Amino acid sequence: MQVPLIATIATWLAMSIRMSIPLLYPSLGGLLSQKAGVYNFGLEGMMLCGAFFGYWGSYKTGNPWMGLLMAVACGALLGLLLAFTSIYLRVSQLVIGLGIGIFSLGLTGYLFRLFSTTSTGDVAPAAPLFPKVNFGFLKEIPYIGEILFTHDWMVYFALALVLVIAWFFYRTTPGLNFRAVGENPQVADTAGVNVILYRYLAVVISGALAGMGGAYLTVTQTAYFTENLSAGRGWIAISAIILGKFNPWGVLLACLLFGAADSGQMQIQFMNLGIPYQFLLMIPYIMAIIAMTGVVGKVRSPAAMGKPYIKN
Amino acid sequence: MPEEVYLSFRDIRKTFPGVVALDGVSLDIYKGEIHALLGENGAGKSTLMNILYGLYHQDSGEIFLKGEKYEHNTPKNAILHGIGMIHQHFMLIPNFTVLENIILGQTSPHPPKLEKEYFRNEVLKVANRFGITVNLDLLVEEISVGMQQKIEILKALYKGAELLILDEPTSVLTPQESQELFKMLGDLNKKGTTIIFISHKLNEVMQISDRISVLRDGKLVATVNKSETDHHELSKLMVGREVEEEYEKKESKCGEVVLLLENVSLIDHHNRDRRILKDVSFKVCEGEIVGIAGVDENGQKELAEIISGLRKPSSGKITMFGKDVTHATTRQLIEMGLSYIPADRRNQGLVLEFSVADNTILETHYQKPFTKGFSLQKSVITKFANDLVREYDVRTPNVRVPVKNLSGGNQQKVIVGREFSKKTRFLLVVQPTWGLDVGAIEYVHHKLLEARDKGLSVLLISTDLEEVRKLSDRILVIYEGEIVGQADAQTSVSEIGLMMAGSKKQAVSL
Repeated sequence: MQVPLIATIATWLAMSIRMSIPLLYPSLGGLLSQKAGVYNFGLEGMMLCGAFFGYWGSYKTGNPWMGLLMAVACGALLGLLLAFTSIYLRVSQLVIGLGIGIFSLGLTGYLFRLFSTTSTGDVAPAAPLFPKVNFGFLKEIPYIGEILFTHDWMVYFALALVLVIAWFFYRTTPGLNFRAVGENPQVADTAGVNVILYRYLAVVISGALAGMGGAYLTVTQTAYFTENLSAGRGWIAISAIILGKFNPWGVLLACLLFGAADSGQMQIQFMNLGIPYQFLLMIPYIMAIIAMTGVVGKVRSPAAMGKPYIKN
Repeated sequence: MPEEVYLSFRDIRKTFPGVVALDGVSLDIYKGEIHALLGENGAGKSTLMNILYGLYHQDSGEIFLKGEKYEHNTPKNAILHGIGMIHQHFMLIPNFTVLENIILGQTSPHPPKLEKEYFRNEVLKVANRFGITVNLDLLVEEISVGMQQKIEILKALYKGAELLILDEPTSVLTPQESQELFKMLGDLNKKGTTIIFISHKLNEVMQISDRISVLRDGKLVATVNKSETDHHELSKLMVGREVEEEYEKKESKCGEVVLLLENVSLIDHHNRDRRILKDVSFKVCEGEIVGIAGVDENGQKELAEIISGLRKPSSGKITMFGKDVTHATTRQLIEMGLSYIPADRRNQGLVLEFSVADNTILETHYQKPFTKGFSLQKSVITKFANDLVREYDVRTPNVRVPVKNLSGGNQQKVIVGREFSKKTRFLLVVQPTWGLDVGAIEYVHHKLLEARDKGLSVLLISTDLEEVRKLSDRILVIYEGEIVGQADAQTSVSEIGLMMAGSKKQAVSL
């Protein structure tokens, strides 16, 4: 059976959007945290926890909203841990971030096994998903309908977040203060900005968004959890921030690009061209490496990123 | 006319671990005056002002502002009370626009919206009132240092400053920019702004202030009216003894060429291929001191690193003692007789965690007598270090303490001692007296002149124009990585200043 090329492309684009969203949430979270001067290397771990608790909550209560709520709370809690250790205790942000990653991998793997073996033997049950948004006739527009109007609300919410964050950064006074905190906290402090508060907020929201990104995977896409479900998306999110040059719109584009690569490799697998799928799976990661090595030219990161603020 | 006291300090005391920074300082500032705080590095001038601005807190003592007790000194409270401080390092964010920098932390009329147009008008109103012309839309990194300083002042005025504190404001400026600043401060003063001006430069203090307070070792030595004092008295008050105004120099006997640079260029590939050095050519002979004057960040650091072999030039040729050393390693150069006193003494000159003794043999540790076979000869090293400490008057409990525990001046003496006690033929000296007190400065200067008289050649790179003029036989001026002019000790400061600002260029012959 021959599928027309244009239909394949439409499917691919729709899928690209879907695949870019689980990158967009943690990327926006990471962007917020980094703009305020704190590296969030725990994105992957926060995402994984979000994915598990999203799944678990949704399954247990039969309500995907409860799953999402748990995922967000869990991500925010891990964010608070990162904030407390890196801002107050001034522990290395890298070490804590990596620690959160390893901890989450172990925790979710352990809880998942506990949970899946006690309930129905070795087969994990499916969790209820968010339904797709019903756009009525819009969905019927050929191709465009499939690409733009066949998603669940979390997709549109993520896109709206880009708009909100861009507005916040560049059009509001707190946004200006926020960026100053990441560039030079001392300047911000002498200008009367509460550096510590901004940083705490940034990192906690960052964790919440990463948790949402994880939940997106389980409560809109898979309905199941498997060990290491996030599969490095938290790390790709960090490269998306750099590729997007620390600008919300740039980050959106970068995520779409990675999403397109991911869905592209899936489609190629589906076409059965005889390329070992392991190679295809590498594509997004190879793109991430290329992005990190500065293919985008000079990227200017917030000047105070990674440095704890020490007041005299 | 009785003067109205605007601000008074009563018996302020402040200690840092191991140091008494301020020892019972009492001082009155009158309304509408320009008051200079004069003193050497570490005399406590900045500490006193940082206490007022709320960056530190006094251990004891009180501050009165307009007759009322001023407590809870924090930067925020200082701004609320009309105190503005211009720090030595500007409090500006380079990739924000001028406007964004000025309005940072302000509350907009319709929060949370950032009403840029509203703020623009407000800022321009203030700028016009004080006669300051600015372009609010440029990024701070795009404007000159002198302009950045104006922005800092405008920022303080916009926040309602009635009292401006300037901490060593001219250290980053060319002589012309300094004059412009003084003019601006004079104008502000006429419009009612009280100004406290921190400096260690006598000329500036005498030019601009109404009254001068001299601090020494954390104590207020005297407060004098400018009209009733002179350079001589002030320098005596500041240092506590007579100071040599000029050095006696023997005629220089220029011998063989020691160092020759031909069209040395350096391109920074990591920063849009910016040219850091542009066709730099000059020579240094035996028995002379060649000074390179210029404002900071005009390629001096890179030039020194290229000559010392720490960096390679992108093009050009370097000859030392008649040999092509363009591609020589630093160790080869040292073995040929290079001594290098770097500007960044804490990172390039010393290993801070190492002991004083180990720091005295950093470049020669592998040679006899410090090493035999594979083992370091501890007793030889200790003796060598003890001798050096005695000869160069390094104040340290013993040679085993980490060098990081020493004061800046003593650290510099360790470096100077090390570099002078080697078999040296060519001295490359960068900012040798930065942060030192007058006594130590004189000491280092005498050592350099002594070396020159012995027939060594010295290349002195310094941003302190006075220092370059005092010591050098020939002066080259560097601007944006280019040697833009040549001068000698007779050339006027203003002429060299024009070259330093890049507004006067002349062909320089080898």
